[in-house]
Amino acid sequence: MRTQYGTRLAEALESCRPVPPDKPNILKTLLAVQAGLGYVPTSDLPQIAQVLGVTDAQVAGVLSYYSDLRTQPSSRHLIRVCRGESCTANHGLRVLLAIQDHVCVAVGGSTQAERFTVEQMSCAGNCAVSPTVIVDDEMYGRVVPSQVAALLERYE
Amino acid sequence: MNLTINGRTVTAESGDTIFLAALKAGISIPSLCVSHQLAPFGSCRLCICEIDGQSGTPASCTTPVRPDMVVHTEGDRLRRHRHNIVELYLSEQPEGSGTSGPLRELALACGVDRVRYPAGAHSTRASVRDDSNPFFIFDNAACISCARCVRACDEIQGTHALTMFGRGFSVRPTAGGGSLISETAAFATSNCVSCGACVKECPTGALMEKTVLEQGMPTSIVRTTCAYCGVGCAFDAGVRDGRVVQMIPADDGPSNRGHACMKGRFGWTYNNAPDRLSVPLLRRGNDWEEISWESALDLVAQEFTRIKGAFGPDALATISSSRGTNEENYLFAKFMRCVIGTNHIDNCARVCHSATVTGMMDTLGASAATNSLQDLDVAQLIMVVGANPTESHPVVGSRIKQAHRRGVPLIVIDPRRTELARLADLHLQLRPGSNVALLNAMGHVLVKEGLLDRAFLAARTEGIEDWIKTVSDCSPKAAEAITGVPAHLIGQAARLYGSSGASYCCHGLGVTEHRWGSHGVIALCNLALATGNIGRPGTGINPLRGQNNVQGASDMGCLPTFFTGYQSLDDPKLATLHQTITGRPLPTKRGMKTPDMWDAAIAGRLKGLWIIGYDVAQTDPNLKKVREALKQVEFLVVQDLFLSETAKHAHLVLPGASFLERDGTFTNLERRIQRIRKAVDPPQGILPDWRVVCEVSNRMGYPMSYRHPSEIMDEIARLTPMFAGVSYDRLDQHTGLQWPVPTVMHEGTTLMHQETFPKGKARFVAVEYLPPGEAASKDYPFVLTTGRILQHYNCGAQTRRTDILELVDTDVLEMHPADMERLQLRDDEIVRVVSARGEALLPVVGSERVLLGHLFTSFHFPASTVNDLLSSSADDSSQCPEYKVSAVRVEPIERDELDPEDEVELRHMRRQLIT
Repeated sequence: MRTQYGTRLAEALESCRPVPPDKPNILKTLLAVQAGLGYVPTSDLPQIAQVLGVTDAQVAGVLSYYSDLRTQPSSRHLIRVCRGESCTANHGLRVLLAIQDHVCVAVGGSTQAERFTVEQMSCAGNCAVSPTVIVDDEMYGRVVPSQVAALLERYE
Repeated sequence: MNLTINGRTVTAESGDTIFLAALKAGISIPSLCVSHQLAPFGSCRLCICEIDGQSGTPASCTTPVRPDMVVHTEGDRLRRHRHNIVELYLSEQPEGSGTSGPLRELALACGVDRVRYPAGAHSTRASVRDDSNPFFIFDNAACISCARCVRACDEIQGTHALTMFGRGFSVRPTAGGGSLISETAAFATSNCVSCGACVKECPTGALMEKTVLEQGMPTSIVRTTCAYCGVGCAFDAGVRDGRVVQMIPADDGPSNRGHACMKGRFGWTYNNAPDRLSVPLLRRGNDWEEISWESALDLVAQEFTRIKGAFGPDALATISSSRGTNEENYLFAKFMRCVIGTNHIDNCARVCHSATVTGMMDTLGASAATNSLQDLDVAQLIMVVGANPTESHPVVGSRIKQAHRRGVPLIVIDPRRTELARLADLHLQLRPGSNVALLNAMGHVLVKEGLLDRAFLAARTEGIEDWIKTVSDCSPKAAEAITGVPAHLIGQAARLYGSSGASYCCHGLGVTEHRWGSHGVIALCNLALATGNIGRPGTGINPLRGQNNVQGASDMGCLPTFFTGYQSLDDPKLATLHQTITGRPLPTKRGMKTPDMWDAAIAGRLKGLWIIGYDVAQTDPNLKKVREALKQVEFLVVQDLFLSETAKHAHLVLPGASFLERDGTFTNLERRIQRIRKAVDPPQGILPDWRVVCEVSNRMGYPMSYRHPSEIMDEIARLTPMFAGVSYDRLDQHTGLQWPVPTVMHEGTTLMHQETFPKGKARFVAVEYLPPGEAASKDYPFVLTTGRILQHYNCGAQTRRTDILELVDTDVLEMHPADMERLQLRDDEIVRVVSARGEALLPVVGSERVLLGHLFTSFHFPASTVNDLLSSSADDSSQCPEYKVSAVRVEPIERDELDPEDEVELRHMRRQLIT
């Protein structure tokens, strides 16, 4: 298990190792690590910094800034409910509550058996068809509470 | 261009911000996050303004000026905005945290007497307090998240140890990455180098010196110059109740521009160390007897008179201090020449840059930095040879990093992968002791590819043909075999250096402290001459002098071979002038260099020795021999702040006054003579060194009466053409003066050799590569280099008496990880390092800074006895010791071999038990 993890981390880092004269790209690297491992383990921060030739602080700054970057392993599926102005005006909060009721977990929490993690986000940029829910990489617009059960059925 | 601010016409440069234009015109705009040291940022929103024809209230610190712009920085609307912003800042303060001074003052100024937002209705700042750094604390409650500290770490220091952590309301500065794993000791576990730039920039007191927190804000300020390395940083010493409580680097300091390093900023508390000497000590067998100053001075005079009478003037010698002032150094030399009648005087430049003195004298005819630190602003390329400025000259290191971030190419020639080497465009990681081979090969490429500056060569130099002939045999391929540096990298470095337009070269002890150190310096000068990289802005040969006044001590004639200003001892005109001014003849016979003094002492020819502020028994090479020599001397006087290793051998120890306790001048590595000023009184009764010399001289029948060091400087000016225009009046008016200063009207010299060299033309000196004094062998397979680390300074007498000890409390042997593995050594394991001369015990750590087969250690702790390992091998012409190459072997040791009585072994044992 640990070996596989190590390999994935090493692969992710190797793909982002800066080649002069290119400058290190911290954000791209963290996204690659997250793609490989599902999250960015904070304990690997020194190794990430070393490969990029930057400091721990520089990586920590980026990692703590972007909400897309996770430092804890999430469940198999990540549900993000938009709480931007347009979604809020179109009853996004009701959708969030319906999701919470359906999976029985509060914002920030994970369901038993680690099927779902629920998070809220600020604007997803999908305002024209708000309210918006994003599950993993898929985006759903004009979501109404009654659709929630069917929508989540697809994710095992 | 012109614009109008608050109804006044103001002139500004294109590219200025409104804030800067207003400032220049004397209009102050409230702000917290603006700093002249940093790029515009616009975070605190207090410097908002109104511009006619433009809506909104832009931040004046980020808005560039336009011609004929009409700006208002005061007015009801702006006042209301500012009031509300300050109120919002206050609303974030956690309950009961107590508003910090600067925020409270701002609140008063803006008329904020209460916060309208009810507690609990909005976010407050997290109560995070980080006091893990030995020198300062961070208190998030007082912070406004303006990021000035983070910007200071990035833009000024270039260490990137800080970041803004999180986002939105919860964003706060933090050090390192520790906050992600909920550590509060973030500073201590980060790569912070404690330069203090963040503390100085902090506008709210969220970052604050511990000395100020404990002892209070200073009540008066004294401008002085740092007494650590040769950069010569200007500082404001903050004094309260007769004690220094704070040292702040001065923004108008010409060499440091408001920046500092750990040692200068925080490493001055040794001044109050409990074991400072305060009374003269006379040896009585193995004990010390405290005696009065009167009897101590009488004794020195008696003994020196006795020895001179019995054995002649040549039985006496003085080693002066590169840490002392110019005036004191001049007086010690004067004492030896006028009272004793000999040139047996030297200073610790002997063991660091004496090879630079001979090398630059031979080629350029003057032995000091040709250019100034400000040239780093205009250099098109920077080449660092055998120097580690980010540790040994940290403020210069930061300026090189700043230049590199602006895109200036950086070449580093060094056996170690130092911080600058890691950043560099090219790192030529040569084998220790092969400088000349590498530099000559660069010359070879310059010749072959036609990169010589023919016009400069014809007009300004002689002897180029000899040099061309010598380097024609030094192909990069041949150099690769000697240096281990791939030939193509040598070629690339030569092309970059030769074609940049303005290549600035600085070098350190990695060039000079070799068996052929002067040749290394000469080879560098040859390259600069061949490409015309001298006498122009942004170019030159710039030795990074190691100690605060090592330049000055040599300038003042504390050399056995030169009088003040490097005047020849046998110059008849000087002899007449000397006789007229001092009333005594100038001895013409060359004196002994420090290593000659050891030989003379052992041979019984040297009977009396006076050593001032220099711990030879810890820092000179081949310590067994040095100790033997000190034991042989009949009368040894040592003057120091502490009972140093050398003082332990003395017959008489005189306590000294520190740089914070006396007046005088230091000369920095860019020839800048700067004032030091007395900030506090020395411990009771201590005489400054210059008074000590005068008192002894008076007792020996040659009266010296100076009321103030300024009168000594006046005498130096009369005797020395290159200091003729130097006086305290002028030094006080200006930010120092860079020599030569030939007349009282002369502004000083920022750039030497512009039109001509001291000898007319500069001279190429062809030098060939010669191997180091020692090579790795079967019995001694490693090459050991010694040097300094950031945290400590030379013999460590000062830094070991400060809180720096919390960071580093031992010398460490750095070894390549592959060698560690081969020898089956673990990190922190104590090993025995053995050379043909002696042995030393050190903890070893794996480090990729050194090459395979190469070792590095510092020499800051006397218990390490590192210098026992070194030989007396030295550069032929300058006698600069070969500190950088010693053949050694490394042996593991068993724990039961250690002596539990021994302090250093005990510490190592404890470390081993812990790990």
